[in-house]
Amino acid sequence: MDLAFSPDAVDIAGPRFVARVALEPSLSGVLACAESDTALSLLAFHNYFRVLVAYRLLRLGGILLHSAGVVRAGAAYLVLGQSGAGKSTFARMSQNAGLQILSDDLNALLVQADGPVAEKLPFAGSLDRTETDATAYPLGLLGVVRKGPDDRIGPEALRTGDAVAAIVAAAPFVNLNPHALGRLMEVAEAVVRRCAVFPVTFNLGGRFWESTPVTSTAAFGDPHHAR
Amino acid sequence: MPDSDADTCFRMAEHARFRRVVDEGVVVVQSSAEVVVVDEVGVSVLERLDRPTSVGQLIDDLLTEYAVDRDRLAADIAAYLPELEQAGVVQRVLCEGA
Repeated sequence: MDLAFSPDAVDIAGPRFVARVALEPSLSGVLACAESDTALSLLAFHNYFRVLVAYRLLRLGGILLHSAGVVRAGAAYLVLGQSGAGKSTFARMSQNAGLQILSDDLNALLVQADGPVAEKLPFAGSLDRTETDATAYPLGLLGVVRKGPDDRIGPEALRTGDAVAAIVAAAPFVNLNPHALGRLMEVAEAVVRRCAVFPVTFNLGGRFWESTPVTSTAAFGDPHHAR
Repeated sequence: MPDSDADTCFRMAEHARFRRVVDEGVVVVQSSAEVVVVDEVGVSVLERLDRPTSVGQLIDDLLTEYAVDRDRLAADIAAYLPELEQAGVVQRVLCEGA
């Protein structure tokens, strides 16, 4: 899928479809498919809709994040990572441990007055659509997948610049748009001011959650943890 | 490409976007989809490269902020700018008036 950016719009070209997301005067869009085939049209819509959602979230002060989203004790744990970083493995391991999964690929993070919230979106990766009790959860942890032999969170939060960089790198469709990048970095910095970002390492033994305490943003996300 | 070092200036690369975050800087290099984090010194350098700046001018400016030996600073900058260039953060341009 190719994206072309201008100050007012994002033009999208994909297999057998073209689309435009207009950013001004208000967010709107149009999708044109070359096929009447329902499956291909749905695929085109999914690709287009992801871009639209990314810009809608940014406008709301949120970010669409490449992440695995896991629900534990009524809070969402979002673990950032690019393709191949281990998001789906983390989600599958969490699912095997009995936890509900928001998505193993794309989740919404919104900064609201009472704190950051993770919201479920209809975008799944290698795990098919998963069931959750609710569609939005207060954020329990924002993490970044790191390779390592142990099961652990932290112990140190990422430095502020590294945390902002990790969020920006995990924000598809908007992080390559020169006209949206200023806003993205502003929102990413707002997220980090409210919520520290921790490295998350896990092995394939499947015991990660046994050794991880139940947390809330008050415990792990306190910005004073960020150096 | 500039003909000589005397004509060479550096500036932020066309496809790089920089933001100061507390005492660090985050640079998104959109041409390569890389995100680079620079320390406080890097922030000081990049904030001076929003326009074409010669190495000599950059060193003179930094000496107003940091109490360091000029030769040592010049050596550090001589090593640092190519690193930033390699990462796509800065680019060489012809100095204005050269």
